[in-house]
Amino acid sequence: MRAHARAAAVLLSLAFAVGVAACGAATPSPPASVALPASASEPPPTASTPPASRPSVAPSVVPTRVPAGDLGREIEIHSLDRSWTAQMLEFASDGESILYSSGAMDGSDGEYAPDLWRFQPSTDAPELLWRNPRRDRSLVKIGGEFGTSAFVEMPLGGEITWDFWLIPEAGQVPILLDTHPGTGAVPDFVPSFHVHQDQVAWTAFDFGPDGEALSRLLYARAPDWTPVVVAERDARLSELWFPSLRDTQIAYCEVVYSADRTTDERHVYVVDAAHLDVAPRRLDTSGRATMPILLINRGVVWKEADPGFSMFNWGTMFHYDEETGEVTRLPTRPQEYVNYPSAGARFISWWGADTRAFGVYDRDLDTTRLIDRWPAATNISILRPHSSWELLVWLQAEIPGDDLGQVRFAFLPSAGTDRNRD
Amino acid sequence: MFSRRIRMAMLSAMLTSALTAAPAAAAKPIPPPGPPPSPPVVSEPPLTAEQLAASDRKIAAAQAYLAGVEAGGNHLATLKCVVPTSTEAQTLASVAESATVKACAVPQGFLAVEARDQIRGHYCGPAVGQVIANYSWAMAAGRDVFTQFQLAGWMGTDANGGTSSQALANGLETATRGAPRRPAVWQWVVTQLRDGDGDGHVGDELHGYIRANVSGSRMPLAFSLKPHDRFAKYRLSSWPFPVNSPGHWIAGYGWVGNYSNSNELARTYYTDSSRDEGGSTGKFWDPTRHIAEMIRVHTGVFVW
Repeated sequence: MRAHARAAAVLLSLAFAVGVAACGAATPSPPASVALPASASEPPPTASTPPASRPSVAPSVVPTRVPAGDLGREIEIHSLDRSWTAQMLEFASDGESILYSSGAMDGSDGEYAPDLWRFQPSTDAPELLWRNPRRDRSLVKIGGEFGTSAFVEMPLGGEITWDFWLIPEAGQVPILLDTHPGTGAVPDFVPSFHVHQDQVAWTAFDFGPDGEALSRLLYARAPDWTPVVVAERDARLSELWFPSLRDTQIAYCEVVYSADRTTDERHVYVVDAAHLDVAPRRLDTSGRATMPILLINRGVVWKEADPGFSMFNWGTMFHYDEETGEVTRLPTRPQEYVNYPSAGARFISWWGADTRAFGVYDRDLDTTRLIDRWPAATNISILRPHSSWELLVWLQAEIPGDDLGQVRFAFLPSAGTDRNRD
Repeated sequence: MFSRRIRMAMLSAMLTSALTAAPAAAAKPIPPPGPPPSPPVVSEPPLTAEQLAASDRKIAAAQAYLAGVEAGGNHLATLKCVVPTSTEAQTLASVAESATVKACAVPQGFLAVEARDQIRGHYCGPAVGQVIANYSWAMAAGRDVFTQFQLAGWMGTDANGGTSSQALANGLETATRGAPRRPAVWQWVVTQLRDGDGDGHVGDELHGYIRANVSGSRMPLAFSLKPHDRFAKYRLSSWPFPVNSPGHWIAGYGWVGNYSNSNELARTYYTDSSRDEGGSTGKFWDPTRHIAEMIRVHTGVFVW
């Protein structure tokens, strides 16, 4: 897998060297029940090609209830053992495995979630990716792609500090990419970031040369992972947020505040990390665009909160056509409002304000697909869905209920395939 | 299976040696860990008989208001109606005169409040008090009728290291006495959020209380909760990242929709003040079911 990623990076470099965009059609993956070990004879993927093999899924709890949605009946839903995730804090899909932070090493009374764990569906149990020597810290934000992981580590007691780490490959020593200066003069929002193809882009607040607070968009790539400042703003006036990578392009949100900070404008821009001399391109016209995602195989989506509401609030989704520049509303049924979108090769997912219904957007079929919906008699909630490539992960919880809930996951149908309709 | 276990064991050994090593320092040095501050714990004394009676009276008044709404058929939108996508109070107010909109709009109510940033880490109570006092005194945009220091004094915030529910109610009593928007017969009370109808949920009760207070009495409310607890299932949208909080106050100023246990379309609108405390400052909404659950697992009480 890593060989493929490196090969893709080499191809990508060559493509940039001759000025050719490296986008192609996605390669369908095999069904979930078939294990195809990666081999050296397999062709390296292009920049927009998912991993050539989808791991076979180890036995896990299979829900007995038949999902209410057509997509829910099409996919195989698996779950992690509750004992593995009882001390979990955050989780994310990296396209082939589930990353999560946990305090399991400190027993059931662990107050923190200092360690990074990974569950690969083809294995029997989670593996520890990083044991944090600082046991009073927690990993509050996690992300990654195909074995490259990044995370934000911080105390939860209100201290103004965080550290942003990257593990290039399982078993390697983490690299400290960024850290908060530890003063209240600099906003303590933790970095937003995205890992893609041996690259990482993130946003962070820091001191400027005159002691002023700055908001920065940064970028680093293998093998040296040296941070490069892509953009920088006076944090009193504007902020940079939510980077999303595709090839070397970075989409991000810039929030420009009014003088009294009671109102703001939010715009989505795209800049090329390989051509930082070229000015960023603004995509939206609304002034309310945030949380952008550069979609694999072209297209950009973002979220817009209603006028007058913070960018962290629930909102509606929009799609930007990179060929025509047209912006259209993206359906999110059964949700009216969503937050924190994520995307794979074919499907776009999000947190739904109504946690009793669970659906995604299918780019191949150009429609929303329902996974499940629960009757009033149940107390099931679907929380924090996250997708990368074909792996969708979510938390299914009973509310009210004492335990955290159960991490569930499914490999969604690949781009270019449609098993129900063939 | 056997080979997989061997592989896992080898991997574990590798990880043990690799991962217990000090992380590679790259861009910046690792700052020395500082001692975590001890968050103040504000005690919530049980309600006195007099306070319970005041709460019961307010609940009865709210239920009477809601019964009147239901009797008038105003609690439902017709099936022909389209669910609006905009929830901006000003926009909705400007079109509210339209008869069609009146007939079709999803039931909702808002008050014209402005968010305020709390000026100290433990001043969420005074910040909520400022939002509510400014509304009550019909202050112009950007103006404050009282400072957060004044409100903190009335609420005993500095003396106690935080603001209890009854202290917040007492402070609001002082801050809104004689205010033009305060109803003639009004008392700030602390109410225990209970499952009055025994359906296993407290969200329906909370949504009714918010609706009665905002649309009936035209007054905001104050909610105490843990905004993004590390072990909680729900979190405020205004707090993107987890924090060990002793509790946090927000001001409720609006509602949308009819509560149902089969979905979470009923919403509660609130202001938050916590930009420099790990959260955000501004206007937000979350499903009422989420807010109710966060109140229930914290102190279980609110102020209205």
